[in-house]
Amino acid sequence: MKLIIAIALAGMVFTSGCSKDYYADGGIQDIDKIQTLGVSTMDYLKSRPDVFDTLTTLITMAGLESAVNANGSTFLAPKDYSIRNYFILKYPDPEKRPKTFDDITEEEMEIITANLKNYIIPGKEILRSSLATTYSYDTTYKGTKARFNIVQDDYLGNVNMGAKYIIFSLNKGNPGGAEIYQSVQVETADLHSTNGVVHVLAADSHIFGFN
Amino acid sequence: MKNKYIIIGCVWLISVLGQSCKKWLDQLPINTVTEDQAWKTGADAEGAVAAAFAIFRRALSGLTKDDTPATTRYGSWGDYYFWGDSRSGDWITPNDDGDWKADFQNHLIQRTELEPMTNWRLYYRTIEQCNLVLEKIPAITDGLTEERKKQLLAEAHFLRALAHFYAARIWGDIPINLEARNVKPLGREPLNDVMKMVVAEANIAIPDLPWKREGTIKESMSRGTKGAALAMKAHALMWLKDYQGASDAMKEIINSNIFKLVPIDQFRNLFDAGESEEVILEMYYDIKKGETADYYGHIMTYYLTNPYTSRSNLSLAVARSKILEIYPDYARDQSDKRVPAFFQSIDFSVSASELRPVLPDPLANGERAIMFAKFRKVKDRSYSLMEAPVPVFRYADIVLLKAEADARLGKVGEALSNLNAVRRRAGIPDFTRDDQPTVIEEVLEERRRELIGEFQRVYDLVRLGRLHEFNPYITAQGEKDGAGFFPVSDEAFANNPNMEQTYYWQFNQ
Repeated sequence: MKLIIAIALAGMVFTSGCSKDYYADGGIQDIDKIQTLGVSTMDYLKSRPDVFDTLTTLITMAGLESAVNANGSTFLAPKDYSIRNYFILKYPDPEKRPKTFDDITEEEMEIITANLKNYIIPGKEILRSSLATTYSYDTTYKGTKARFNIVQDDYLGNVNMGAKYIIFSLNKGNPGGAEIYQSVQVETADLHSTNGVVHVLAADSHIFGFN
Repeated sequence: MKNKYIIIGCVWLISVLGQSCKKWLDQLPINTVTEDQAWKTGADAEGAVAAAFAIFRRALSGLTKDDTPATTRYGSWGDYYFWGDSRSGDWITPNDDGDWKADFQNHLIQRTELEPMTNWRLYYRTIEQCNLVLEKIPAITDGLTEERKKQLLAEAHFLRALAHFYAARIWGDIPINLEARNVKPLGREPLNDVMKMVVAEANIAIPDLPWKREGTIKESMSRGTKGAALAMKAHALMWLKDYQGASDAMKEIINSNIFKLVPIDQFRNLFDAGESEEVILEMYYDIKKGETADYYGHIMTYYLTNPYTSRSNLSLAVARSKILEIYPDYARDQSDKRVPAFFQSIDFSVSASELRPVLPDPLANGERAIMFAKFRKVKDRSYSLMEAPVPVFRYADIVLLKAEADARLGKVGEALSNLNAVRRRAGIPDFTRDDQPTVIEEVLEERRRELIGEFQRVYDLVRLGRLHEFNPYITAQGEKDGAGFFPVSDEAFANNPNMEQTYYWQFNQ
């Protein structure tokens, strides 16, 4: 009798271990769902004060909120770190560097506004799927020529394999002169806000205003 | 019957014992080298001196796990850069590498990964090898002419002085070891005493060293020569503030007419191949001899990206605004030809699986995206074939150092002619102001422009006590306490009651 109970117990242990739930994972995330922000571009940026609070304050000060939130537009969001490096570059002497937003002079604000306009592509939703390794061109809100392309890198050097990045380049050449493009890599692409598309720019090597 | 067993037993015993009488215990495997065998012929002597230089080359590159279990890293990083350049305030890390940042900010102890840079073990291995050579070679007669023996001994004197000199620039006060198989716990000697020893050893070596050796320039100029010993002596005398002595030593180098300032268009020969009449001393790698530095071990890994290596982003660079600050002539009218020779902008928008094109304007890229391309390799998206030599002394360095010495001696005219020789080669106008402090300052700036990335800048600033003016993380008081020197590693304290940490590093990380 004891033997039968022991065998039954052992059997229970083995069969209960066979539950297939153990292998179940969450499946592939619905890309449309995670990339849909459900709020406007500005509200999204404001919801991430850890990386964008300086940016949102400057947009508000420049009066560009409505342009950023315009329907069907693309916004390429530079992170606070890029803006911090911009101020360090413009004001190498920490004494002269503006300490608060009120300290920013009017001339400086004009330059910042002009720079901000170069991060807005009005009237067009630029998505990674619509881009290719060849260049395509658009015009920023300020009227500067912008260039987009895809770079693919599997970290091993194989051709046409691996992660696809958007490269956003801006024409920094003098008007009428030769076109000189400076590039920045998009770090997080294709975020859909209620009014358009947001791409977040890599901040390590990019300085606000393409300096 | 019993007898039969005894006989068989005896035969068996004899056969066993007889066989074991071979003296196999006294034989040595053919490839074993013990000390009393190692120093017999001229070839042994040549090999021993060459080995000392090989250890020194490794010392410059930095030690690895193979050298001491105490270290954490598998490959060296090109430590010469981190000792001689990184803390000059001119450099940034565009991909925000934490180790590099800590180094720029002089936090040399708090990060484990920087610990190997505090270890001077390989410098003392070089010195030990030289000491052995000096002890053993005099007794060798087989296959070694008296003349060649003198040369090898002079090289050993030169190299042990050079290893002391290089280490003293990095750590400040260091132990002096002039004895083979020294097991005494050595304490640190004041920097000035080390430099005096370096000068004395140079004086012993110089008469017996040749100006040139056989072979290619890089073979010739990677060993002890008169030029290298005089350059080392002059540098050491600059630390001792004996400007007259330094100026005289450098005058000998200039008067020898062996070296010259090569035109800018030959810079690739100078920096990539090391085959140039401007080289005085360099540590080289030679692919043909199977020597290259791979991913680890050469600082080019961190300067270069695609199209030269498979890296897609920069780890070490000079910011564009800093380049324009260092080279004001280029900022004004793009006249300084060194900027396009030393820096490049890469089109980072081209696919990483292709060789990215180099843009025509060296500063076309943004603030944090200019490549430091003074030392280059073939464009092939691999880390192999890194054979650019590691410069120690070159002629432009000596010409400018002499200008500094002469300016400090009040011989402004002579200083200006040497300063302007280097400026003319770079395509910038002559410096015409002749008040002494301005000339001294300008010579220092010219050294910064000419020798950027050649492991001289930090040593120049530390020698003059001015590192704190250029590195905001170092204070004037900190520098007086020794912040400009590297801390001494834990390993040096093992079993050595006489070892002391640099004052600044007793309280800082």
